[in-house]
Amino acid sequence: MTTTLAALLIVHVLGGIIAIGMHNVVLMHLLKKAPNYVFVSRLAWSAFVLFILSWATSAYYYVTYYGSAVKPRILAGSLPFAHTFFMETKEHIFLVLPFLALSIALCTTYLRMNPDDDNLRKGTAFLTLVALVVGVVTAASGIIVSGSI
Amino acid sequence: MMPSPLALWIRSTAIATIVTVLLLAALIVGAEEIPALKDWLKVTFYHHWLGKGVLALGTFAFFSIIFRLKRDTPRLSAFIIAEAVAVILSVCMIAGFFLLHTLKIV
Repeated sequence: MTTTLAALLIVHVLGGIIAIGMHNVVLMHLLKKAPNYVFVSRLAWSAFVLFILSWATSAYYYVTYYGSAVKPRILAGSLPFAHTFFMETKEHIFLVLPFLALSIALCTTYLRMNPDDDNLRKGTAFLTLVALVVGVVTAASGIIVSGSI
Repeated sequence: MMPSPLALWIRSTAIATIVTVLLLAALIVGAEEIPALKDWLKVTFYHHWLGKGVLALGTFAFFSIIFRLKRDTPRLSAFIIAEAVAVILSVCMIAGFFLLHTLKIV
């Protein structure tokens, strides 16, 4: 692996993990009766930017390196399901995360100006929980894929 | 009362996300089951995964703009809940398909 690819992979992992952590904090604040929406919306927009960064860096690594250098080794090893189930699922469900993150960021910005919309606060909390679960499943799948080589 | 532009964007991006994630699930399962579709994605976009990403972005942008043009008062929380349910369905379809595929049931 070249230094550039290693750097891109590190940015992908760190960006994704930090974004997931930010969604966790956003969710914890949205569960309060009166969240600090200035703080929450800043976090939500940061998570969106990090997911885009994580998406872009993973795309280059996945398209140019994973299929030719990593996938054959996993399939030939003792845990081929790490690719056939975990990687296949991860690489595809990851595609929905930036769209979710954008919706969460827009909602928290709206709530900043309309803090009394309690139904939207609860709906956004539910959406953030879904994004958090998808993010954690994606990250956990990445750990399984990395550990299978 | 005229809804705020931000409310209209929240509604339109929620609808666009619903359409995009369901289309993605169908495209992902379709590409595994129909080799010609996967080949078309590879030939057109260099890699099937890039093709899915580009089509998802295009679908999202198209429906975001189309539904942004509607100017009635949106019930934002209902759209956000529907978006969350659509994502759960899409993720279950994708994970369920690859589980069945790994178990050689499909």
